[in-house]
Amino acid sequence: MTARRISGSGASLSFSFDGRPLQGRAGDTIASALLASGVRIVGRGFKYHRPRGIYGHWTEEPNALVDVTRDGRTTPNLRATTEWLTEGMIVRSVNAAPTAETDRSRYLDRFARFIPAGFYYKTFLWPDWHRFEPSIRAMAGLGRLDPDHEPPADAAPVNARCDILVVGAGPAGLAAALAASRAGRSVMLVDDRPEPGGSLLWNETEVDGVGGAEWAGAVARELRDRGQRVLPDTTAFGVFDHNLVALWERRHDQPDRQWRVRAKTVVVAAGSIERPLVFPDNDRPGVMSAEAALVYLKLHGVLVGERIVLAANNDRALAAAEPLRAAGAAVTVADLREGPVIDGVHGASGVEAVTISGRRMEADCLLVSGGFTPTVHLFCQAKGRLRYDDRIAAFVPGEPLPGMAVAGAANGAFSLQEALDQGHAAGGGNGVAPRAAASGAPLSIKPAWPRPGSKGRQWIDFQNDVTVKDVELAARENFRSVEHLKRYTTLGMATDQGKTSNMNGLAAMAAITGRTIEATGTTTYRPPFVPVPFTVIAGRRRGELFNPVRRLVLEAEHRAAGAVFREYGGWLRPAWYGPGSAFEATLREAKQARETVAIFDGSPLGKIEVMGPQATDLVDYNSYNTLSTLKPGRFRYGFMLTESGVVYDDGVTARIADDHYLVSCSSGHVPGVMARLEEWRQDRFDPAKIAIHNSTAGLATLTATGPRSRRLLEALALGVDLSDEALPHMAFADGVFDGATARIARVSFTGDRSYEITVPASKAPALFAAMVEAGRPLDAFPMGSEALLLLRAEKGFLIAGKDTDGTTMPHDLGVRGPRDRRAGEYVGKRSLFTDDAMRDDRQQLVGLSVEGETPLPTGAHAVDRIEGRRRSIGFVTSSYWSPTLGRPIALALIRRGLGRIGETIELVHLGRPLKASVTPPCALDPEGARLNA
Amino acid sequence: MPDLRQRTAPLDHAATLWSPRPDFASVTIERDGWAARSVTGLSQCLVSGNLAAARKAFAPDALEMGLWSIATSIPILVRIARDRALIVGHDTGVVPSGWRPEGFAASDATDLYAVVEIAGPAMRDIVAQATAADLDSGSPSATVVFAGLQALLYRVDEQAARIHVETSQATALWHWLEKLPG
Amino acid sequence: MSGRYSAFALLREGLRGHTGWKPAWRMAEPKKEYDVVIVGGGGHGLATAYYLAKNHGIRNVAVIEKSWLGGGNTGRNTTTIRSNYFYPESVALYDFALKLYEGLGRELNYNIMFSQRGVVTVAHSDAEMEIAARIVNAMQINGADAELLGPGEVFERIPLANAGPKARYPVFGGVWQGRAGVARHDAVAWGYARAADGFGVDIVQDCEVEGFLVENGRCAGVETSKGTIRAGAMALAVAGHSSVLAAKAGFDLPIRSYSLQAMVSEPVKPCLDTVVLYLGTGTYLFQSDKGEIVVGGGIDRVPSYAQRGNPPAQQTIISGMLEMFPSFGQLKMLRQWAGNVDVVPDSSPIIGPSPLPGLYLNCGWGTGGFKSIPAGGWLTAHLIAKGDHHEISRPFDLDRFATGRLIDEAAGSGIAH
Repeated sequence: MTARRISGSGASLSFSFDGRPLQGRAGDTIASALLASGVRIVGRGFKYHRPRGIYGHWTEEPNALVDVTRDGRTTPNLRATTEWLTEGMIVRSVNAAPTAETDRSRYLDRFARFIPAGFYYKTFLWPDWHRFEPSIRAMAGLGRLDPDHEPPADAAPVNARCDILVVGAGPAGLAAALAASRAGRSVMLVDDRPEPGGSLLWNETEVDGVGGAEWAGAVARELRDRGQRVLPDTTAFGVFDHNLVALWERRHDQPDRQWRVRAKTVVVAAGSIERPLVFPDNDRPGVMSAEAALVYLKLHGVLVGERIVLAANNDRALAAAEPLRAAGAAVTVADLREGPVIDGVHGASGVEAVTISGRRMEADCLLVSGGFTPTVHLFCQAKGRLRYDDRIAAFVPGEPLPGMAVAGAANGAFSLQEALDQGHAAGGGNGVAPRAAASGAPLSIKPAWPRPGSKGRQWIDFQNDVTVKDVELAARENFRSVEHLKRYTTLGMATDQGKTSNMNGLAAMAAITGRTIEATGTTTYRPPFVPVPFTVIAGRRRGELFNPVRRLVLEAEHRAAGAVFREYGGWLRPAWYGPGSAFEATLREAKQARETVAIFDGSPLGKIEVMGPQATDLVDYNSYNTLSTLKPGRFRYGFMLTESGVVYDDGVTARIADDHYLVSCSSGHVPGVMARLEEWRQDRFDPAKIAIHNSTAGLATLTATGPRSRRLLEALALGVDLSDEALPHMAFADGVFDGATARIARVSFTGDRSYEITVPASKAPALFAAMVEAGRPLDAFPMGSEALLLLRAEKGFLIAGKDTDGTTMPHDLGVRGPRDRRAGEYVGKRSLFTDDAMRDDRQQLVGLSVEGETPLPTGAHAVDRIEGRRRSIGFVTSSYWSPTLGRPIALALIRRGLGRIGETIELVHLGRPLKASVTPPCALDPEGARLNA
Repeated sequence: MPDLRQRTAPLDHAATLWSPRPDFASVTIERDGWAARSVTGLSQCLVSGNLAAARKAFAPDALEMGLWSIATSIPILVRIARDRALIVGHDTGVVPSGWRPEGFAASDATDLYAVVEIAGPAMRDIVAQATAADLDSGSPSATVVFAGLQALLYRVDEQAARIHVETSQATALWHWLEKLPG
Repeated sequence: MSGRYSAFALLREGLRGHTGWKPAWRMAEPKKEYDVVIVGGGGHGLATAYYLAKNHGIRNVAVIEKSWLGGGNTGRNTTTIRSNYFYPESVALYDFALKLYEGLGRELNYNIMFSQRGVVTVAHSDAEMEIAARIVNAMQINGADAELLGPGEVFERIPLANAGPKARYPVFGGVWQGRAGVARHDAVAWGYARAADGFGVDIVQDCEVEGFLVENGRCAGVETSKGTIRAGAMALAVAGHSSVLAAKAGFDLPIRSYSLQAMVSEPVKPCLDTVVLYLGTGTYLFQSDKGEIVVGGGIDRVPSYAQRGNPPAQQTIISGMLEMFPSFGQLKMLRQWAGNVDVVPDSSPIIGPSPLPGLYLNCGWGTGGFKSIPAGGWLTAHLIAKGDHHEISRPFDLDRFATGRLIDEAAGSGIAH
């Protein structure tokens, strides 16, 4: 092929291909630059590694896939026809080494007969697939991932709405957008090329008295002037429920974007794709789409050959001959409607000659057209059904879908006037549609589908190396449905997604199995219409924008105090403070907390207010423990169960007034508890008599815990009687801090005397400062969550989800009273009486003690043997070294655990045997004397 | 910058991952076409139940706001659900939580929601990235998912949007705004 | 019917233009009556037919399929095979399947390309490592292979994983199952179909069940788009449409159907050698032998039969993948699809008699259907042939919802399955 540049201007750009330095021009795609440089072989077929040249001009291109390096960073698998050339680009072919032209693997073609479609299902069984897999993997894959290139997550998605979304700015789309705009509607017009016009850009046409391209530009200008959105370089790649259309907008100096557009009407004016002819050796470099030749000529000034043979079965493609002759090529036309047949193409590395009906012609380029396939993808994604129109040998949209119109070539209307008329109507246009100069007859075409039993190797899918013989093989083995054909032969599964192969493939199958094309049907159309970068789908959800954690109001204060933060229950919280390892700091804090007074930020703990005349009923129903008997000013600890009777969460509930409760729950469960309270509020009670407010984020809670905690509270002088008679354990009272209500609650998660002070969040910094100040003479210090987890474990206090699993019921935790005695209904009640709930060998929460100084590993399983077989009887849920007790402590869920207290059990961790004794869960101060110490 | 591959012991990864919570009293963002600031000093009160009675009790002059409504003055009643609203800008002082005999519950929400304002000619483009809601059609409820967070969204001006999010999530919203390209 | 497959056969056929290959299965038309009729021509249905013939000598069997065989969830999943479960009942079930998969290609004389490249489930905190330890110990005790990995060992297996200071989910370690891996999903369906057909089983495609024949309170057959077919016993293996068929048979199942999406990238040269799941993102992925990165995650939020899914779930899954492997931001999404998964309250399958005598159930697999195909088929065949459970399937009977004896993997392991 002697493709070359013949016209046009633009800044010169240097690039390289497979190591060869070349020149291109501003405005080139990589493909047009390669053609202009006379490069013939740009890639290799996937399986047989036969040489491949550029076939098409845009997204339908099956062959010219390249890895591109820009600024030292490489991106694999870019399509040369849709990638714009930039200065200094390093371009490499894929799946070929050392170069596409000199590919070492080209010997594989000699063994082609032994490796047809699906051959790998029939072999590689002995000795083992794993023996062959590495070689197969190494030969598979196209481009190469660059391990050092981590594209940023900066593709910001944007939402939009409009009356009409027009996909495609060719004649039909422009007419639709213009009509809609003039009718006063809001319009979005998108086209995947940088300039509007579609086929108007490379065909000699006239619309409303001016050249087609000029008319297109004027329409776009009018739309923009009227405030409509015109998006170039934008592909509509998917239609989803309720007319949601996803767009991929390519931008040059900024990150690409995904648009999510909800349109009242979508007009699909996406044109059509020329399909190849199928004949022996039709995969040779130099065999190109006739339309592509026109595109390269008009848009890039590249003439694809000097001695061109143009073989087509339709008048639209045949019309390419004239412009190519005018550009200086010798063009021989073979009008296949009149009977001639392509016997073959000669030239192993590229077209040298073509034989048609026995006559051999020297040529350096064979342009082919087997017809045009309407681009119906978006219509089909929206679940539209197709019908086959044999006058134009194409599948076109059948029954229209509400909210969607298809116009122009996408609708099988190939003449310019038809396209303008249909677009104008689809846009709801008043008056007359734009007028094309030529009258425009329908496509004249004689189908040239692949024929079974033909000689030679005839390609249908160029990239995945699928031939007519492969389709015959599939049919022979009864993979007759088009879906089986696709999956068995991989036809249509390459990166071009079957744009040039699906029709030929199904037509071949139809012919082979004696069915009509309509009866054979197409495979399911699914997004994306073209491969879309993952970054465009992912958007900005990365790093700290990915599942962001909730923040404490006191975060700055904790940082200043030297906190090391960790994520707990969706919040960022101090794990410990100060220097030293986690282990050292945690032990130090836990030890000191039982000696002086620790200050702990408990703000994330759920604070859900349930208010109203039926609040008591709801709160009672939601809780395993009866709460209606609670007096105002008091707390009660209890569980919330799922409907399966499993402990969902635990926590304390306070009664503020007869009709006002504060339900506390673990920080990570707040949304879940809110949801279940809301659900029962609406479903079982009178919503007008209950309100549920989640006040968690608006209130801050600072806890003072330890033997000196009362002294700290006294120093704060919050105006509350702190005597144990006035404020016993599990009671609360309201005081004042800095003009705001400060609720002081005596609840304890450490087992020591504790006071939780709750104030509006804006008062938290002042309260924290006051506590630190007041605590100075008391050796008060800030304590993190890790120490708290240790302290509560010493007391056997459970953490829901850590010391319970999804089967744990309240009686497994030793709390049987409500199940045994509570009369009324509550969530989960009846599940507590199933066979399984009543078993006597359920997992129960116990403590474990060991000899020596090494704590048990959390997650170690307790085991016993049944009939010689080992089985798990539970596992360790929490395990620490206790600085107060000077020995390890642990909690575990063990089958029949409460009945085993005093026994020694066996455990195993990663194969290592261990022993422990079963104890009650509480290891420290079981009488609870420290609460009032 | 620590490479996690070298790590063998637990490290303080949270320090490198999570940017500090900003000082909402002073922090702002200035960009081409838009700016953002935190709005402080607004009184807020969450009410559920008989909304007419609640309005009468706290802010009889409050204008009702739905999604994308423009609040030209305060106080306002921002609808959340059929029977829930947020009263903003009332002057009755801190509201103690509880049920009122008129048939509604109230709790102070002044510290519950942080308020962020985005203003400028490009404000609409920013909001278009944050929510898919149909702003021009609006909705009686001002509730949306904004930048992935549960929020209330209305305007105080043609080109100024106000977003209420729970205080604990305000940092996430702020970082989302700060990291917008451009 | 199809002649033996081998390298020699390929050689022989290569020399004669591949004209001698026999159909992989007959395009059977249904008879009026069979000993057993199985509704559903996916992996489980076809495997059931195969094992009925092979283990029990029952060959007068039809598998009826509404569309093209293997076109349901078997052709839509992300092909992972593993048995890293928590409860002994689950490990017994899925490890039985894994063991059958290990020899399946040779047994069926069909290369299913089972690649035991391992699965690593990555933990990101001390708390998650405790959960990981709990699972590893459970697996080891129950006889499945498992290792608890530290961070260095995880990065050895997935060198491209996000190791930066801004990684949302840092690698603390994980659960490794070395025998786990992936297989070619279509090949599993085709392999079982061919082998069952070889035993004389009729596989009837494009045949939709319109109703059930009930006589004297017993299931006696089905009404189909190809006429009435009587059966001595029947089984339902129609994942994704279990509720629909159950309704036709007159009973309810505790199943809701959701779309589960999956995507593939364009193929690249090998860059990921194992299967990876991150607990933090819920996204899992691997690289197929063809070079495509295959990725999946959680179900779409709204129940649906549409088999397509919507952009929000896509964004969640894909952003999760890029958070795990930032360099994969170089790649493009080539295909996207969804299956319908049967979601059951305890996320464990339902195998056993249905409320209609004579009709057996094999459903409720949720996102675990592909990995269990050989076991599902074996156990359902046993059930039909013997009229009673194999010990491995007994715990999964429908009656567990009455007794409360749920097998809730997510609950037990602490990890959503």
